[in-house]
Amino acid sequence: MEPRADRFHEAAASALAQPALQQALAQATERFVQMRLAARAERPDWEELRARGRSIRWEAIGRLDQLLVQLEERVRANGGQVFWASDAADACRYVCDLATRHGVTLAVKSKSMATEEIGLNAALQQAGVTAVETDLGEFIIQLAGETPSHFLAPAIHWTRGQVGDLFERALGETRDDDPAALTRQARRALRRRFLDATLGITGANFAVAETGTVVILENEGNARLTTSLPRVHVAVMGVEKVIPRLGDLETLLPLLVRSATGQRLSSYVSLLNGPRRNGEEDGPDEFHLVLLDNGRSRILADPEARESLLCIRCAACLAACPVYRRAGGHAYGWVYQGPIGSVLTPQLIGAHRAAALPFASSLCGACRDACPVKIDIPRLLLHLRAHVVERVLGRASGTRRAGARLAAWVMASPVRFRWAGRLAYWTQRFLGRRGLAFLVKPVRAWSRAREVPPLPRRALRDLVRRHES
Amino acid sequence: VRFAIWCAAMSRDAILGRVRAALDRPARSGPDRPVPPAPTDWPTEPDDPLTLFQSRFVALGGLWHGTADGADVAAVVAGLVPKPDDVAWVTRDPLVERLDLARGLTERGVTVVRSWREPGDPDRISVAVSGAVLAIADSGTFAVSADRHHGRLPGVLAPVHVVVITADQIAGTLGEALTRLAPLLATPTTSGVVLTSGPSRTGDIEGRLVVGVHGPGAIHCIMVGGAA
Repeated sequence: MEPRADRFHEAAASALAQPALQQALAQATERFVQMRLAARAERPDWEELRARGRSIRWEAIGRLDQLLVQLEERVRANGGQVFWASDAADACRYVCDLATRHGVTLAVKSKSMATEEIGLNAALQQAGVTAVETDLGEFIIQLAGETPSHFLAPAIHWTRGQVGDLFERALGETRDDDPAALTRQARRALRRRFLDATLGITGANFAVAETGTVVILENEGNARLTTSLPRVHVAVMGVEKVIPRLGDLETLLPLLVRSATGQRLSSYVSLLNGPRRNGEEDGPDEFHLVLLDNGRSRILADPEARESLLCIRCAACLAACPVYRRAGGHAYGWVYQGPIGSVLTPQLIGAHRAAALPFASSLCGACRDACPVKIDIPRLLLHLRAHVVERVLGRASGTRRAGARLAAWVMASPVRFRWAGRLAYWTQRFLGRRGLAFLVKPVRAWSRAREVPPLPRRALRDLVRRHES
Repeated sequence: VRFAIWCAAMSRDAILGRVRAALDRPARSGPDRPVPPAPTDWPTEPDDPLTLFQSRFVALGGLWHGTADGADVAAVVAGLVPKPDDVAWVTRDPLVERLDLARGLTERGVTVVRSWREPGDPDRISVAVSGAVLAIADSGTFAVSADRHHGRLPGVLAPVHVVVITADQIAGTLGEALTRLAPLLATPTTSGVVLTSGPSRTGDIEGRLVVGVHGPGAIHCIMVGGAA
């Protein structure tokens, strides 16, 4: 998927101007928050669970090299094949070669962010393979030629009426706008594809190093069909998804599922140990695991940013974020949206292509509180802001530098600071809330989307002094 | 081909090299503490596993059929097959075999297949009957092993899924279940374990819950007396 992460402000402004989108977003994000809170309340040991989950993820990241080698060994022992992909092109080439070798023309896919990240569908199309998304939300998005706007509910911004129109047009179905009827239409359209496809493509929520088990969570049953019917199964996963032990799932599954959808467990959890064995009736003849780096080792190399790799993609921070709740997923311009998207995207595609994202946050910390593995997202955003200022924006403009110097001069002396406050108050009195802001371009841009608070006539310290005397 | 293998080996070493070089630098907010042991006193529910399983399974939309035995089980399953020309897929699970469900259903006029490939078009199968290696009370979950007796598909292929289990197969929590599943996942003849909790569901259109997306819209559980 081609990133368009360099135009956050424009995209967010356009989202804000669409009432239907605002309503869909408000309802969906509120629903996600309520479900998560209810599921969290049911576990009195939630904080303990978070602490344990965080430790497990830190252990996995800290022993990444060992665990990946162990995982590779175990997957091979289970009869699977492992491919290490340095970047998106590597991974796409491997899957396309695999498809060509097996004469695949039709592949079914279950929802996966890693394959979205590497643009696998487009690569397969070029290789003459039709890849059909089978998750209902993802299917809608693919039919419409759009991109997902949420980790779990890619069609979060669609209304039932729009889906009805789309299915009538694209599937030749009779127009309906009942979600149950629309779901049946999608089932009919996809059923045949499952039976005909010779390649099944999935991601992985976790991979257990100890047993070589790939763990896939879903609610619709499409991932299970994708990993049972086609002759070949390929799973593409970021290297950071490895976990040490099978028993770690006791902690990580409840954290992920309760934070994501508020369920006790996803409807379908598949623990897959490679291809089918002798006498088995279903399951693929071949299993391939693609271990994707694509910038993750670079994140690992930055001691300040390493924590980003703990993410288990539950999307709790998206619904919790006041910016995401208004701007929606498309404003972030790539696969990863919301607060964690603002952290991952600049690091994965380069800060110069997503310079606005670390600033698309009020640093309120709701994301950190919602995160099941307690990732300190505000700290990561500040770290990336510093990086963007130093490396991308480079030397600030003359006005900016002059402004900063002036501010430093004023703030360095209590007398100057007090007089500046009085001056600002009287300027506001005579010229209105924004004062002289319209004269300076950066300030004008800043105040376009923000309210300047009314300044008090007397500063706090004047009041204190009067009170004391 | 040799070039491809060489390339693959190169990128493996390159990735591992980068990871090792990166890990030489300690993280800013490094591992805060060793993994604490899992608490053993959870869940705090007073219920015994069977009661808890039943309530959680029903809360998911599962259909509960209480305890039956012997020929009664076949009668209950036959009652779930709506039309006489419907096809029931009966797996080779040991409990299913012990109950002789295939014969019991055939005697009641149900068309029985023992493999999902048998009818040619798998969409002709309207009911899948299977056992489970265990059930998880806390989440109302069935675990089925992917091996020659069971498989990955029974929980997802047909519009109706019927599971027979015995009370001793119910584990209290996910942790307990994982401990019991670990040896199974280490068995070379098993290609995995699949967990199913309730019917297939989605909320992808306006968050409205719809069941029976790609998998079954109805899942039935029949408790069988005695042990597995």
